[in-house]
Amino acid sequence: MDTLSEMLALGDIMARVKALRVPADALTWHRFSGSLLLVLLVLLFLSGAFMAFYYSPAPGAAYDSVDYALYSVPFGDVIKGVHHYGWNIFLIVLGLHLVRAFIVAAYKSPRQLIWVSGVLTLLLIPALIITGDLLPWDQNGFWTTQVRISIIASVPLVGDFMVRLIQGGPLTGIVALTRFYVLHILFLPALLIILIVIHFHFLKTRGLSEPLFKKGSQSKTISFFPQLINRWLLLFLAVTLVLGVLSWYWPAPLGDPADPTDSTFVPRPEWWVLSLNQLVTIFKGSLTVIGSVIIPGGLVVLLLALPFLDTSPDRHPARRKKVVLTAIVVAIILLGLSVMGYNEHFNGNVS
Amino acid sequence: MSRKAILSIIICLMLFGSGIFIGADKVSAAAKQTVTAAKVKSAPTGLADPAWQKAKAVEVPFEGKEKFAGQKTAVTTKAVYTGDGIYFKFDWKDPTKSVTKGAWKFDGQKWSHQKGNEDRISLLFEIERIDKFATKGCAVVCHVPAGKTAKDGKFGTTSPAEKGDLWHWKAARSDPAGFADDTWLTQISEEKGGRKSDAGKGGDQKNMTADKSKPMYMPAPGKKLAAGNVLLVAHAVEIKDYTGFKAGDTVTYRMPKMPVGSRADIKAISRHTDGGWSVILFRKLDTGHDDDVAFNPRKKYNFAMALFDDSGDEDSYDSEVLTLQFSR
Amino acid sequence: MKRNGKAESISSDRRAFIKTAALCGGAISLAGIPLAGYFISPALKKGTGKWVDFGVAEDLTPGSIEMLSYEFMVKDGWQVLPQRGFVWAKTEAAGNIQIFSSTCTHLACNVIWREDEKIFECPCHSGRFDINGRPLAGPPTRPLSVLEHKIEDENLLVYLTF
Repeated sequence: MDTLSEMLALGDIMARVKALRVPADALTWHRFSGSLLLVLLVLLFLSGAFMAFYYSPAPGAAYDSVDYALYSVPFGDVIKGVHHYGWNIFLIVLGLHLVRAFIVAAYKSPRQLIWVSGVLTLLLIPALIITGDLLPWDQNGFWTTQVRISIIASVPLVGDFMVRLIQGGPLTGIVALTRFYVLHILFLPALLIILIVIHFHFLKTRGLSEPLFKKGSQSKTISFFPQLINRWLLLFLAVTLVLGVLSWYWPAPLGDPADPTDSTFVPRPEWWVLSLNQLVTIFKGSLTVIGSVIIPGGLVVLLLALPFLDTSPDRHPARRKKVVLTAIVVAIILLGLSVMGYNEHFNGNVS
Repeated sequence: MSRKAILSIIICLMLFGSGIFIGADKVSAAAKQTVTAAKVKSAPTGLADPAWQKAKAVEVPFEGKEKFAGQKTAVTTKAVYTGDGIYFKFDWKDPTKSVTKGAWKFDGQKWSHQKGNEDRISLLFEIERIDKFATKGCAVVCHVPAGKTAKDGKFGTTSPAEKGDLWHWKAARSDPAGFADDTWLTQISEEKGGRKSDAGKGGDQKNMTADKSKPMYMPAPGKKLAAGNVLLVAHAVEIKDYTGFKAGDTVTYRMPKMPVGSRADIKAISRHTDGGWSVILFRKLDTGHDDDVAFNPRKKYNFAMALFDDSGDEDSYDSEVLTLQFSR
Repeated sequence: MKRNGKAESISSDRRAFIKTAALCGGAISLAGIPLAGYFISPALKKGTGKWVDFGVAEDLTPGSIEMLSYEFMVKDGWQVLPQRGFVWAKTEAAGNIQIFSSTCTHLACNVIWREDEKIFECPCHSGRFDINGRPLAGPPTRPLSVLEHKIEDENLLVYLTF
């Protein structure tokens, strides 16, 4: 080991890494969502990058290439499954990560920017999902994209321009698919990495939030290498195994090839977007802008501004009644909208 | 491990559980019917085999075209599969068993062809993806030139890259030999449709003399007629003496050959009783032939069916496109 | 002297910063403007339309709603593809024709005419429109768009935008 690091002239870096100490509770049984997100992200990047080996971004050929990768390439179904289940679980864990940070008020000074960079990461995920869903060029991806595009187009003034910008024209064809592909595999992941680096930068300089009930464990530290790395690698192994087995037993879905002339296909919104979709359904006609822009935009602004609105030093939820209550009301409304949306799109008789 | 640890593990499992639930393929079009092939340990050997009880019956609606326009019928479809074979079972109502296919009849003076065609059922799968077959079904492979009637319609794909696998069970011309004709579909040509026979030999042979006035063959001594009183080529012997025939005697006109090679991939078992047909078609999941679709039980397939009730190619009942999937 | 030296170092710091900032700005605009233009350009193009021929206008049956399918070639970026779809023609008396777009005004699904109920129905969210394209039920609030049409040499031409 030592001779190797000497040969590679890594001595300096090795010494710094070895000297690095992190709080003992950086990755424990009760604080793991961040590390789990990082595991899932690595798996998403790996599976995504490798899926690109067998993908050609042209309508028709895209479907055939995904079909080929899924069924004719060894481990194809596992790789696609890991990506598919991976992002679903990533989004859930990200939500929990945010909820936890909210409950323990981890966004408070001096950690405002940890929260802000985290929320920005969350906002990037829908862009990744929207661009990713079209790539297999199957019926569901195509028609879901049509619905999303028409929601974007309904934004006053800039809607039409935005649609043309995203798709590279008015049609969801080869130009749009190529754009979505490049955004999905290059630009958006790069942005995601930048945001996460920022997140970690503030995390390192401002430190982890202390436990709500101080028991003196705060000062304990462990070594970054090998202690923290080993814990993380164990988590990585476990998650990879579980996702791999899942994907093997329940292969990721691939619908029928997209048929832009098929008027009978009814796309159904994905679970994470049910509440927003329902907003668009509630605010019709000239009010669409309320459901498609004002309310979601307001929520985003509220989330981003939270550390600067709730500035009291109190961190215990019981002493932040106003903020917690507001959040609960918003959460209940979103959940209610999702249930309404679910009933309409999944239980309702679509005749 | 502390209580906290156990709690964390439970939370993790719930997370993954919800991930699967949410990520599962619930987002599918409502309209398309799905036939699910049930996994069975041993292959069904006949129509009454208990293996069929494992498969869910799907009532597939068919709509009449041309001569049958406005009429509807239905085929009860089941499918099972084993480690290496796939088995379909079709039941449909048809009070008349039609296996005539122009069979010869002797009136005491001369021979003539009887009126009557045959019953058939056909299935079309994709070997290489046929554009929009998954959503439009057989409609994308039927081409009727502008201003012509369905009789001039051609059956085929629009490019040689698109390949279909056409299973063609014929009550008179393939079933008596115990097969369905294994054919495939490619690009339509100017003259003919895109229907091709799989590699190998098969089909039927016309039983007639050079002047087309009378049959040339009859059952060889000691050979019985096959199902539907059909004479197989293998059992035929040249007629030396026509004086032995009496008025009212009939002889098969289209004699089924024993298929060989890739054309012999699809075997058939059938029965006509209680006013309907019951037909089993079965094949290897993967025949290894490039004129056949290779079934991978992890994958879903599109297929469509057509039914012919004592009729020619233009008069049929057609199904919508269906999904075939394999249960675990 | 000392003080002077400090001031000098501050001003030289500032000068260095301004220099770097200027270079940075130059680099960003030099590389960024063409790159942004490269990415944005398709969005600046206006939508185009086309008169599509639907055949002899008198073939339409008065008093009925008929689906008229179209197919024409469209250039999407570098790929020429057939654009297929359909419109609904409402014919009252001969010559009195209205063409409805099949696109639901809610979320761009295709509406289907239901002869038994005399309504247009959108299968996606159960939106309904009456025979004149006015919204009846469900999420849509705007009527189906009426497409411009004309009759030339007895043929029905409809202006389709894309």
